[in-house]
Amino acid sequence: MELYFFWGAFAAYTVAMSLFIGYAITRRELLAQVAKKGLVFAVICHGVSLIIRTTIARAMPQHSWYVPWSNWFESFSFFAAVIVVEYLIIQRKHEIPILGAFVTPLAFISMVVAIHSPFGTQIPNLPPALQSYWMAIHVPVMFISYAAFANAFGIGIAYLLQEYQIKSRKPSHLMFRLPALDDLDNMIYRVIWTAFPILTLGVLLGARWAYDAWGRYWGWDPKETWALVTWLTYLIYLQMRLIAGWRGRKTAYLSLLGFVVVIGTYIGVNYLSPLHAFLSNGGK
Amino acid sequence: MFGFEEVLPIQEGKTAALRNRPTQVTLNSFTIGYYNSSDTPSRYASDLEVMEQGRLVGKKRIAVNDPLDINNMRFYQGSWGMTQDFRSARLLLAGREMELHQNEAVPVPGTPLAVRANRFLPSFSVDASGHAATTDFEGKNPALQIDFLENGATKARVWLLKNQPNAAFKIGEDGQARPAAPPPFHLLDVAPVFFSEIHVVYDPGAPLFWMSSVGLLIGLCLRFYLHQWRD
Amino acid sequence: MNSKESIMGLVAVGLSHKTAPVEIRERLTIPADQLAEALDRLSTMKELSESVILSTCNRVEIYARPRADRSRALAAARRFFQGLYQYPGLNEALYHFDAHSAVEHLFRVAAGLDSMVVGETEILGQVKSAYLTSQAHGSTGKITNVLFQRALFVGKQVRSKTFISEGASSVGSIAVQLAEKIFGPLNKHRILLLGAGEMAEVTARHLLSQKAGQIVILNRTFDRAAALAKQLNGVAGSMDRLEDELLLADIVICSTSADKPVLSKALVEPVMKVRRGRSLYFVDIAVPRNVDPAVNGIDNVYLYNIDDLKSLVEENMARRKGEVARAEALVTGLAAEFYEWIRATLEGKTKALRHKS
Repeated sequence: MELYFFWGAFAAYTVAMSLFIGYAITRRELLAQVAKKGLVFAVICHGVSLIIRTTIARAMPQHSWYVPWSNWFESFSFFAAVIVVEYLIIQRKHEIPILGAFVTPLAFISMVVAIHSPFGTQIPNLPPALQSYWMAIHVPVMFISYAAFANAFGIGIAYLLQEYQIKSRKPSHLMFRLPALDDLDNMIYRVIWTAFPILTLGVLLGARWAYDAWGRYWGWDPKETWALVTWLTYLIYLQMRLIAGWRGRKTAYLSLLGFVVVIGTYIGVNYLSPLHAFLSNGGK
Repeated sequence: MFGFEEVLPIQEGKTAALRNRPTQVTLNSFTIGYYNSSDTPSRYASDLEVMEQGRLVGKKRIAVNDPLDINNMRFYQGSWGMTQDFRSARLLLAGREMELHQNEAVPVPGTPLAVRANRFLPSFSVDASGHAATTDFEGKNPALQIDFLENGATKARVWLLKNQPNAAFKIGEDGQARPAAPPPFHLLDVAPVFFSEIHVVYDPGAPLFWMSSVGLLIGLCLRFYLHQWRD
Repeated sequence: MNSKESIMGLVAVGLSHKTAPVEIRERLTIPADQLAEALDRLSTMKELSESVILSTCNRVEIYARPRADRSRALAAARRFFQGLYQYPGLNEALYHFDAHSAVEHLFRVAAGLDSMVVGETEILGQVKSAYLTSQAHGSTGKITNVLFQRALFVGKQVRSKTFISEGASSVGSIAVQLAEKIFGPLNKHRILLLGAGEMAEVTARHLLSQKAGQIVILNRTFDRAAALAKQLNGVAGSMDRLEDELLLADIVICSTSADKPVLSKALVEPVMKVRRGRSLYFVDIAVPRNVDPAVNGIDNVYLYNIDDLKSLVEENMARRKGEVARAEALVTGLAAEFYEWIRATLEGKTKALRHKS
């Protein structure tokens, strides 16, 4: 039953994304307004589906620690929701609807990846390693930071597009619809700056969980190592921007690179790490 | 950070001693549950007792994510497996169910034979040299070796597979396992003896690590917050 | 005499840049402080009951309601113009509209469709001010009141529903728009003006009108820089301060008469390092160019020369022209709607007039 809400959310994300892209092309304000409402509706649907799913699952035996991000399908679905929620929060502060055309596709892709889960969409059987309250703490914190980096990625693409336009001395009309370079650059910085401590907290929580589960807080397991690489990448971004005085295109590229590393940590690692291959494990 | 780490594989009922400290760990029993009769474990736990110099210092059923914590010494549930010992097994033989214990000869009613089960393999297969062996310790293909005795002498030695009632392997004079015809007797169930891997970690430096982590976090927040102010 | 016709009557008489050259128009323009006197004169004419005078540098028009006969009202309006400045070609230069077409003409004017720069926005403010002045003077009446209020609405509608006023129409304003797309709000950004010529001044004024920050003017002759600085409320200096000022300013308008580029890549690159990558925007309106084109290759530096800006303006104007047909159609529709509404109201029926579409 909760899958109906999931599909409702997916449909609304798709519609909102199309409307945002339509708005970027035609500049009709109405499209942007409807798109934003569509996103809010989608998030509510999605939230309801997660609540229902949790309620159903917790009633199952051996599922008292269940949280709705325990396998491939669930984690990509959750990721999309968090990306959109964070986008809406950024919008409240900055009101630049055209950025929706750059961020919602990421949420859409995440949903599509979820749907194409090689392990199905049913509630998974939790392996003992995931039966812990840490699932409800460490994982969401990591996702909150990942979703912020996704938003920064989208804004970074918008920045690079705008920079290319203005640099070319023959900007198209798209240039006038995109925000100012400095504004975009600052937004990326603020998002990353806010997400970085959250990422740090997430990694430390992961270490604490590892300490409770396996007796060591750092083991150079691929996921842990890649998470460290992610952390270092964004540390370099902040360092370069604040101290070395990098601005503009170079930092935009760093923000893009950072998100690629995030994806590597999120997905790539599951094919490498014996301990952390949660996305593959929980599907049975 | 400073301290030691040891891995103790302990069979149910046995005790192991730490090398770095005068401590003994006893595994009283190991329990494991599965999801819906699949072979995916849903939970597994070890009942431990820890003794130091004759005194009981800790007793707990530990599981993954739920270790035993005694004065900076922590006992974690690591991996687990089935040994080649078993407590009991049930066979379907000559139309009736029989319960066997390890190395116990039980006469088969209505025949001059007796059966004796003496070896259990968690995941049976025939290895390269033709002998019965196990591919892992998780019990993917439980098998029991049964001797048929007549007047105390072994007449036949057969391997029965729990998951494949129509398959059986005969052990020849040379010790090699060969496929045999579908037998009229079946292995219904085996209760194996488990072993559990207990990880023991002694890390007095751990609180230091946590404090410096929190310090790092606060430092990061402050540093960037201050920069934001200056912007 | 058809009483119904006269009730609905409306006339518009005037001349514009389309019918008279500037030498004539400037004789007929009524400055704001003389409007009251002109309106008085109009009110002495018995043939007209309500009236509004619209006088800008590009047109002088009277919108009025005939008290009785339409042709008599037109003649009266013409007399008014002759009273302003009688010259041989006047009658040919004056155009007139009545009833429905008068409504449509006013709406077109308010929408910027009759302007020299299609879609310009200044006219809307001028129409508003003309209306308010006449209203305060007591010259307006029921019909002219609703007519002008509706005209202001139409002016806004056409500009928001079409792209008729989209895009900057002058080099100065496009330069400013680009600045805003690089920096966002301009208030914390300093302007550096190299050279003190007229073009530079115009561009600088545009920037200042967008609330840009402090302006610094450097010129080879200090006095000219100082004079301009006084006008623009800025600071003057001589050209040897160039490198220092490049570190501080974000927007540089280059308009010196040097015959070789004053700003080279070798000069700007180290400046960018000291600036720690903060964006730098050069508006090079000098011919020959003041800035070496290679400067555009530096990261975070944006260089636009006069040709770049002109071609952007042309693109905008072409796009505006492309919107003219849509805008005209919109105006025609709104004019017809309004005219129907007036007629219905005067006949005693009430109809609602849409205020949003």
